Amino acid sequence: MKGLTLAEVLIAMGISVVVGGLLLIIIVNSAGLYSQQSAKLTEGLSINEATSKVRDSIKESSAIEVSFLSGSTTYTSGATQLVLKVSAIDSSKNIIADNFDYFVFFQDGSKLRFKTFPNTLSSRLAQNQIFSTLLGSLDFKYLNSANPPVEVTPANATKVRISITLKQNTATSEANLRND
Amino acid sequence: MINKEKGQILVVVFVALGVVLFTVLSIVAGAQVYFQNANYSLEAEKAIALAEAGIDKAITALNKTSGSFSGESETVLGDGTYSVTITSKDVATKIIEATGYIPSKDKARAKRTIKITASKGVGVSFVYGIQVGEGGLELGNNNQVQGTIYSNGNITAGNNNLITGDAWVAGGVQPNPDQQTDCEGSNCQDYIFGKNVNGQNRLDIAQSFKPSLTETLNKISIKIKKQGNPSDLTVRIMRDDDGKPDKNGVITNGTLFSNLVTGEYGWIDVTFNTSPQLLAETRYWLMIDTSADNSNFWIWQNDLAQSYTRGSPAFSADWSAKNPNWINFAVDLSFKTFMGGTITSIRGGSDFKVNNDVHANTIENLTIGKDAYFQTIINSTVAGNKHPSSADPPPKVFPISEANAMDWKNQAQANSLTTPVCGLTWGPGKYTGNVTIGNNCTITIKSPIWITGNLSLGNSNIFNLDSSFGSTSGVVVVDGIVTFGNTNKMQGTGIGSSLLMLLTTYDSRVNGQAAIDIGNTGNTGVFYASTGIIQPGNNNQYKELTAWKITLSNNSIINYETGLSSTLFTSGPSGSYTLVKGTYQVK
Repeated sequence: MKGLTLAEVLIAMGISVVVGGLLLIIIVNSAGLYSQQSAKLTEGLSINEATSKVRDSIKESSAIEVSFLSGSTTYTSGATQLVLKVSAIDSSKNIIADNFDYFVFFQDGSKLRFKTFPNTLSSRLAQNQIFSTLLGSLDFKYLNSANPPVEVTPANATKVRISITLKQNTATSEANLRND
Repeated sequence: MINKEKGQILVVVFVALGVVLFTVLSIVAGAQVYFQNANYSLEAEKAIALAEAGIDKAITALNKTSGSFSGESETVLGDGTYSVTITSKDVATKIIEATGYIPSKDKARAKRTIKITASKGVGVSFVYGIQVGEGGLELGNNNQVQGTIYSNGNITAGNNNLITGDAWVAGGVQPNPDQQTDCEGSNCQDYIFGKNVNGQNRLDIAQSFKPSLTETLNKISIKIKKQGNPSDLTVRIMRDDDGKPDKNGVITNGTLFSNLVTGEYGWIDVTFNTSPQLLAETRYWLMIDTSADNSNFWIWQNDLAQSYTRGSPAFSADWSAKNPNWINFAVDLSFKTFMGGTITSIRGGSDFKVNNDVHANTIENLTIGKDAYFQTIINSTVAGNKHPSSADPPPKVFPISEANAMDWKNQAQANSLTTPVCGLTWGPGKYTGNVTIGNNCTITIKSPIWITGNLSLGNSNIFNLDSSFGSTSGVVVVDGIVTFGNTNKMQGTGIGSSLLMLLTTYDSRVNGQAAIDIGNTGNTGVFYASTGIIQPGNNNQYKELTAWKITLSNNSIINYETGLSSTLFTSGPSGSYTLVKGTYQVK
C-alpha cells in the first residue's frame, strides 16, 4: 500500500483549510445577509402597516383628543403620542351617535404601540397591538388647513403628519381628519 | 490504469452553492413579498382615493339633481373603477357608500369602501346650556343650569342658584356700530371672492377702517352670502403698512362660520379669540383669507357709491407671501365694527354657586368651585385659583344667524298653511296671522313652519316633529310673541339628537316685552330668540335656551344635552347636501 508523503498531506490540509475558510466565509456572509434582509423586510412590512393604520384612523376620527385618561394612565397628544376620538360603531358597523372610542398611537421605549379603548356601547374590541419592536423615533406634527399648512396645537389640527423611523427604515405620511 | 480515488471538492462546491442559492432565493422571495406588500398598500390607497372620488361625485350629483341621483354601478377612473350606492335615511339624509377597485370590480386586487352620511341641512352647534346676548341673564331663586352659561351681558341672580358648568360673562359690546358702511339700491353689487374672477386671484380680501375712539374691538359684522358650501373662514384684524395690510401685524383673528351664511345676503357676526385695543383715527384692516374653489366661494356685498370715507378695500392672491401684492379696487365692502368698553359682571344674592370656572370682569357674591378669572372680585369664595387682571372674555356669536332664519322662511313660503288641527300633521309652510291652540292638543310638525303672527298655546299641548325627519331637527319660526301655558312640549323625533326648535324673530330690544313667555311646570323644548327676551317660567325643563336676554324666575332647570353640539336642521332652498360630521367610515 502506498502512503501519502508529508508534502501531499500538508498540501491537502492547506487546500482544505483554504476551501473550508472560504466556505465558512460564504456561510457567515450569507447568514448575515439573510438575517439583515429579513429584518429589513419585517421592518418594511411593519412600517407599511403602521402608517396605513395611522392614516386610516386619522381619516375616520372625529377629532384629535388633547388627552385621554384610562385607569391611572393619561395619554396626551404630542410629538410621540397621538390620541384620536373615533365614532363608536354597533355590531353592523353603523356609527353610534355621540359615543366615541379612543385610539392611541404611541412610543413605548423601542416599541410602536397601538391601543384602542372602546366605548361600552361599541362593538370594537379593546386592542393592545405592537407594530414594531425596533422603533427608533416617532414624530407627530399637528397641522391646520391653511395652504401651506401651519403647525398648530393638537386641539386645532385638521391634519396630522407622522414620521416613523425604525432601525433601517423611515416613513413619513400625512392624513386629514375627514370627520372634523 | 484507472484512478478510483474520489474527489471531495465537488461536495464542498455544492454545499457552498446551496448556501448561496438559499440565501439568494430567500432574499429574492423576501423582496418579492415586500414588493407585493408595498404594491398592495399603494393600490389600497388608490382604491380609497377612487372611493372618495365616488363620494365627491355623488354629493355633487345629488345637489345637481335635487336629491334624485341614485348611484352608479361601475365607473372607470384612472387606474381603477368605483361604484356608488345611495340609500335614503330620511327626508333630508342620504347614506352614500362608495367602493374603489383596482383595477376593476370583477378582477379587484385592492378594494376599499367608504361610507358617509350626507344631509341637506344646516348644522347648528348649541355649545352652551344657556347662551345670552347683550341683554344678559337674570336668575330668580332656586334655579339650576346643568351645563355652561355664556353671556354677552351681565348675569344677576337671586338666592340659591346653581350652575354646574362654567359661567362666562363677555366684555360688554356697545349697542351701535363705531364704523359701518352699507349700500342702497342699484349701488349694491356682488363682489365674488374665494376663486379666480376675470383673471384676478381674489383669495384674500381686506377692507380698511379707522375707529373713531380708542377702545377694544369686540365684534364685526359683514354682509355676505355664499355659493355652494365653502369652509369656515378666518377673519383677521391687521395693522396698516403704508396703505396695505401688514402681514406681520395680525392683531387678532376669529372665525366666520359658514353655516351661518346662506345663499342670500345677511349680516353675519364675527367675534375674535381676543378683543384687541384699537387706537382712534388709526387705519386697520379686516382681512378674510380663503382658498381657491370654483364651486364653493363667497360673495361680499359692495357699494359702488363708495359712501365710506374712512377706508377702502383691496385683494391679494396670498396675504402671507414674502411680498404680498395688494390690489385696491374702487368700492366699499359692507361691514360694521362694534367696540367694547362696557364693564360687565356676574353678581348673586345668597348661595349662588358655580361648580366650575367663572370668567367675568367683575365677580360679586359667588361661591366658585374652581378658578376665577376677573379684574374685580367682591365677597366671593374661590376653591381653585384666582386670576386677577384677566382680560374680559370676547363675546360669542349666536349659533343661528338672521340669514338662517330667513332661509327657513323662504322654504316655508312655498306652501300656505291653514289653521292647525289637533291630531293631524301640520307643515311645512307659512301661516299668515296668529296661531292659538287651547289645551291637550297633539300636532305632528313637518318643518319648517313660519308663523307671521303670534303663537299662543294653552296647557298640555305637544308638538312632535314628524318621524320622517329621522335624526335631523325641525324648526317653527314665529315673527311675533310666543306664549306657553303649562306642560307644553316641543319634541324631536326621538331619534339621535333630533329636536324641534321654536325660534322667534321678535325684537324685545324696542319695548322690553318678552318674545317668549313660558308658564309654569312641565314645559320642555329648545327656544331661540336672538333679539328677544325669554321668560322661561318656573319648574320647567329645557334642553337649551338662546336669547338676547333671559329672565329665569324661580325653580327652573336647564339640562343641556351634549348631542346639541351637532344639531342638524333641514335647510332652505339654498341648502345643499354635505357630509354630516362624524360619519366618514373606511370599511
